[in-house]
Amino acid sequence: MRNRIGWAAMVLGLAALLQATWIPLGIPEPGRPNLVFLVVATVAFLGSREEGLAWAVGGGLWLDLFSGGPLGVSALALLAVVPLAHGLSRPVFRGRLVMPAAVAAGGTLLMEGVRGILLAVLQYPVDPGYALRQVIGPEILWNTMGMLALYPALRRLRPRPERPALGG
Amino acid sequence: MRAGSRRPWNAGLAIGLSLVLLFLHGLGWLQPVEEIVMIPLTPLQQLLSGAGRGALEAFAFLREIRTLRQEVQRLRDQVEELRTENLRLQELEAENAELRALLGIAQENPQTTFVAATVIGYETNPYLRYLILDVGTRQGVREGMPVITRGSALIGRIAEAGLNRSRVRLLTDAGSQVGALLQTSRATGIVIGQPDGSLLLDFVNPDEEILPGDTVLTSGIGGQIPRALVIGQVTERLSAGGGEPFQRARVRPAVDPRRITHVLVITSFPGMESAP
Repeated sequence: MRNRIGWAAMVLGLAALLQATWIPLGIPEPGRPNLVFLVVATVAFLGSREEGLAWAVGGGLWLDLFSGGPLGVSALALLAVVPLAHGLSRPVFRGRLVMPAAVAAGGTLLMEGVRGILLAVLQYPVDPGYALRQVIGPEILWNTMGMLALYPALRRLRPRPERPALGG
Repeated sequence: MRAGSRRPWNAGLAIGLSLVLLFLHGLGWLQPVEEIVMIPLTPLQQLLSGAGRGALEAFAFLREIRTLRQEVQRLRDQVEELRTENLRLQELEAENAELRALLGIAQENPQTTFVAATVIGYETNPYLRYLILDVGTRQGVREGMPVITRGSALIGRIAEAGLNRSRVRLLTDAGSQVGALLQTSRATGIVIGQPDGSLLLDFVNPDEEILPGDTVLTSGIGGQIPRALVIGQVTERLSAGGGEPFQRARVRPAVDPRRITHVLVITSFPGMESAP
């Protein structure tokens, strides 16, 4: 158990560290892939709901440690992704990349939407039109491409457990 | 038994024939026969000789190709090594220029104290614009202190200082506001960061002039930031609506925060007032 927590913390910490260093240097604004989101969404998609929730909290806290924003905002935003990612993990399109791509696109929209709403509630100026065009839109593309590239390798590392089909 | 008795005779015949041929050749009697025999043989000899030479050349060529390939690979490796070295030197040169520029600022302002810092991280939340520096309260950095780079360009203010690291809220962050002064017209206003990462000069009195291209400086009002640090340049005067009491303009930031690696945190300056 302790090993798994340590492993999760290390993977998420590394992803957040890269997110705060290499990604901004290598990919100009607007819109960048979110490595922590990709890791959390994949874990929630391939693993149990509880595992996904734990990784979302850990990943969100790591992201906020490298941010000037309030601590906890990214954790809440990533938590919103878990039900979607886990809900779409039923074997409707088993073996295809449709579902991971849908998780990446829908999850990004959900995460950045929640993050924007939380920041607006906390009195941070957020322009919804600009956010949708210049932040969320490009990030959806980046994260979907990232998921399509990463998912086959991650799935080999960790096979998806059998789950009953919808309605079955 | 019969073959064995014949063997000395055959050998004698062969030797004798050879001696006769040698003798006749010496006399020059065999030359016409030799020439007749050699007529069809010469082209064959040429063909074989050419083929042999060609084979040798092809072999040499193959060996040469192998040597040349090795040489090309060696030269490629060398070019790659030199290119890497060149990039490293260019990087060092740029860093050197940046540090010299920062040193120049420190030397030109002896009454101002600075802490040099390196940018070690960038914002992870796409709605916000912050930088992370490798200095904190241990080096004397406090919340509210201005952060500048080469050309005395203001990039932001310390938003949060930890023990050995601090966060800079960039001018372009939507929550940032700085008192500003236009260099030519001396009009004053407030530069406000926008959610899209641009800058807006606002609260300029209607009777004052805003000229596109004018340099926007810090006004120093409030005593939190020194006067005359460069903020940016006016790019466009926004048409004021009928009932608006102030003029506004778009401002292009003087520096792109993504290109900054070294900065100076101004820890004290003449006329500085302590943060509230």
